[in-house]
Amino acid sequence: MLELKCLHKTFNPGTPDEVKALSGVNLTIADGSFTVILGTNGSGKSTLLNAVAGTFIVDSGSITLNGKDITFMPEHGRAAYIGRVFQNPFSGTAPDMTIAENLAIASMRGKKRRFLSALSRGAMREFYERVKALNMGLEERLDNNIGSLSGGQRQALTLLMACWNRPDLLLLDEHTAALDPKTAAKVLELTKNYIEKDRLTAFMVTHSMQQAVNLGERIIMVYKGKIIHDFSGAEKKSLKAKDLYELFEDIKRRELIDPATSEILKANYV
Amino acid sequence: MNLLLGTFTIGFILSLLAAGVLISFRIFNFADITAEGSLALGASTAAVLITSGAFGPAAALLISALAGAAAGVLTGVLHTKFKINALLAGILVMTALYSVNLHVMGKSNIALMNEETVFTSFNRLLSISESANKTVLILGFPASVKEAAAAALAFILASSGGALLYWFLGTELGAAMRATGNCPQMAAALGVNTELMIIAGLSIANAFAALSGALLASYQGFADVQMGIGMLVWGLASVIIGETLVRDKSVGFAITSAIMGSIFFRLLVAIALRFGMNPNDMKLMTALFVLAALVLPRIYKGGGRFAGAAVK
Amino acid sequence: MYSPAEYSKKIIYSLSKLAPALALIFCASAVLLLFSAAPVNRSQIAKFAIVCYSDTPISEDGVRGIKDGLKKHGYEENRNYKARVYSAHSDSAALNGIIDAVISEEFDLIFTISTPALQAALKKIKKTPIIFSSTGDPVGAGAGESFTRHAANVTGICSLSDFSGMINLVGEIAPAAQKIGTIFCPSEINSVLYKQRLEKAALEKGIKLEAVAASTAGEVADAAESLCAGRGVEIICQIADNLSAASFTAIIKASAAARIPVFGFVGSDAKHGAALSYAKDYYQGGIDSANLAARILKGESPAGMPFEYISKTTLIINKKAALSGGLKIPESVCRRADSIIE
Ligand SMILES: Nc1ncnc2c1ncn2[C@@H]1O[C@H](COP(=O)(O)OP(=O)(O)OP(=O)(O)O)[C@@H](O)[C@H]1O
Ligand SMILES: [Mg+2]
Repeated sequence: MLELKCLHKTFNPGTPDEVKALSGVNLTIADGSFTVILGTNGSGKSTLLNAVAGTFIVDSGSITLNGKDITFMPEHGRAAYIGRVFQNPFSGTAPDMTIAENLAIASMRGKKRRFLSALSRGAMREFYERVKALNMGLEERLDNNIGSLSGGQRQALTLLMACWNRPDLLLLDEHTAALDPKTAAKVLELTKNYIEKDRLTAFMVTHSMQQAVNLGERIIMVYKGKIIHDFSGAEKKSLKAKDLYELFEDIKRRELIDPATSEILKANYV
Repeated sequence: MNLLLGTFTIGFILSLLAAGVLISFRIFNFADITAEGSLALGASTAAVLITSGAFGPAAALLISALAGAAAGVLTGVLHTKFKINALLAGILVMTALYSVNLHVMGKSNIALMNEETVFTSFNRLLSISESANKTVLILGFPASVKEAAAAALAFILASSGGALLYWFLGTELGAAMRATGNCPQMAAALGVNTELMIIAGLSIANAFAALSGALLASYQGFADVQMGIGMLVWGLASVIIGETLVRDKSVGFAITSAIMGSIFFRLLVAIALRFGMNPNDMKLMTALFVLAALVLPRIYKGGGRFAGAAVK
Repeated sequence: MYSPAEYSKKIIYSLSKLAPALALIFCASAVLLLFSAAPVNRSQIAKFAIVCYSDTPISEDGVRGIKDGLKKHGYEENRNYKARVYSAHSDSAALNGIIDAVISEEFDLIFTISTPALQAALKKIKKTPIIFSSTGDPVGAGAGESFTRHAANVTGICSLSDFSGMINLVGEIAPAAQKIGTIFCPSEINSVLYKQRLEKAALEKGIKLEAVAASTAGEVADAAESLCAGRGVEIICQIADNLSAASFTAIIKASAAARIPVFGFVGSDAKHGAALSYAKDYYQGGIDSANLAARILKGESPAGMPFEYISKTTLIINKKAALSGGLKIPESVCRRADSIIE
């Protein structure tokens, strides 16, 4: 179970570039649930995922994963519990290392790395089997540098690597956004399979309303660093892409009224 | 023949420096100038330990390497924990090492003329007399036994250093280190402590540089505080020339090519000197060699490639 | 994991990748080998190598002195001997390459200028005579146990300054002086040695030495200021090292402002504003080593030839600089001067 309490994060505080990227996020995610996050550009979705992953330490609030307070745990420490796939296919793999070497690094996530050969015979066999299961023919190219693969192939491998040792939490940040529709569908299919097979707790950012409607059992909408909508259960099931579009339109209308005016309106009418 | 043997000896000794430069330059993508200070630190430490007589020559080499490792840790900590630009951190530590080396030696130059070094120990192991200057025929050319032994020892040390590095970079930790340089975001996401990896990597790189310095001092018979100056360029030149000659960048080939680059580069310098090039032009020639090594592959790419491109 | 067929494939691949490098190394080695083994010009003409470590006026004076000295003994360059001058440009690895090249050229005599050049030569050259000039401390450099007991193929000229001579000058010119000063460079072995020797010579006459360290050219000016301010230094006796030689004007500036006279150990110091210079003449050092060379060429063994000091110390007086420093040089000293700048 993931519990976020009152998370705040301001980038570049006290400068003209100050951005309140998270302002009071409260959220509890049950084990084995698949949550989709929606929001306009710059609303703070990636920041929320990065806060959980430990890319930075939040200004205030607490993050608890499975009863353990990880608020101040460094990124590499949290990685023991968290698997991640990024939007950019280049971020999740080391291009100048072979597929096998990349997998070897992933297979040691959350374990103590030793002075033992990374590509032992047993490990290579396992790499071969699990890459074969991707059905992309990559199992014959384990000795090739990952840099020579396509973005979709890299993203599929990143997903495989993130789920190699069952993570307590899987963070997916628009991981299909940079792919062509066909590859995106394939990667999404893989994602669904992994989540279902290992009953993973997953957290996925997307811009596709259709994906949000089709996938997962909960939708969260983020706006200006806050959670403004939270649909789950029957409510989520009955949600249509059209409804989500309307909510977005609503946000856009709100944005047209500048903050100062809204302050005046509030003071006079509320 | 002695000229050739001497060239190979220096080439192998400096190939350890090249291996260190390979780590900082090719794994972490910046040329760590700490190596210049570490090289002199290794030489100073070895010279002091050897003249003190308290340690055997092999132990002296090992301790020198550890001293270099400590210097690397310092640069790594400045860079990762205090967020100082990597080049700047290297320059700072290199500058500081200049004074440290003076303190280590207590003066700026220590002579190792008749001391026991790894080279003399190796001679004793092979029952080669220090005083008698025996010659043998190698490939029909007369060669001093001592020079041949020195070249053999340098070869053994360089290849074991290279093999050790190859082994390490293939371990779970070594792979994590390479990933840290190649894609830090991925490494961190997969639980690699990237800061620790950078610190460890720089410490290994500088241990190699220090070892190279300790051997150079043992071989040439003195340690001088100014020994490291300009050495980073030699190391980079070796790495770059090696890469140009061996066009495969996987770990094993990269290490082999750095050693070969170091040898080839030394040979070019020796030929130039032997052919009576004006020594005043040597630095210019170095720059031209490296430039050629950088530019030629680009021109060459248009044409054919070496045979056997992708047999795996 | 791999079948034998795959193994052989791998080996073939590795060889194909390494082949160009191996071939080039092989060719380069062959060129070097054949060239160095080629019969050396066996003409009757003698061949001398002059190996310098760095490029400084001291090296240049030395080289000139050696050639002029040889001429006095009837050796004319390119007529009855050939000389090659090598400089390592302060680079250790290059120095070793030079020594290797020198060995393979089979010179008849090797001159070295400055300490590292001597050390690198000592380590590798055991037969060909080595004559050093301008090495401050040949014993410390490892050339022998003492000036008389030393390596069999080595002899040379030691460039140590005449410290007691300088202190005597101080006593004659300023009998009341209690404290002299100098700037030294901890990273130059000779600088530290000279500082110690000067200190010793001064103490023998009851004079104290104030020494301030500077490690880079930029620090010399600060060190000079600090030397001139409130330390009670009456005369600056600047020892001869590379650093202070390069930044001598900074020392002159600071001392002129404080009206403290400077005595220098480098010949050009007086011209550059020191009250006097009492300097080992490196040109003479070259001539002296040429004298040693001539004896060796006549058949004498270097083993029996003790190390010597540079035979000439030149006294140059700059009267104007002395006056502005508040000193009047006595007539007795002026008479001994090799030259006087009015
Ligand atoms: N490291 C950072 N430094 C400064 N500002 C940042 C940083 N990361 C994010 N921000 C700012 O925080 C805000 C939220 O950014 P975030 O990346 O979380 O948006 P997002 O919801 O993921 O948007 P998108 O849909 O475009 O990916 C933005 O205004 C962004 O400019
Ligand atoms: Mg984002």
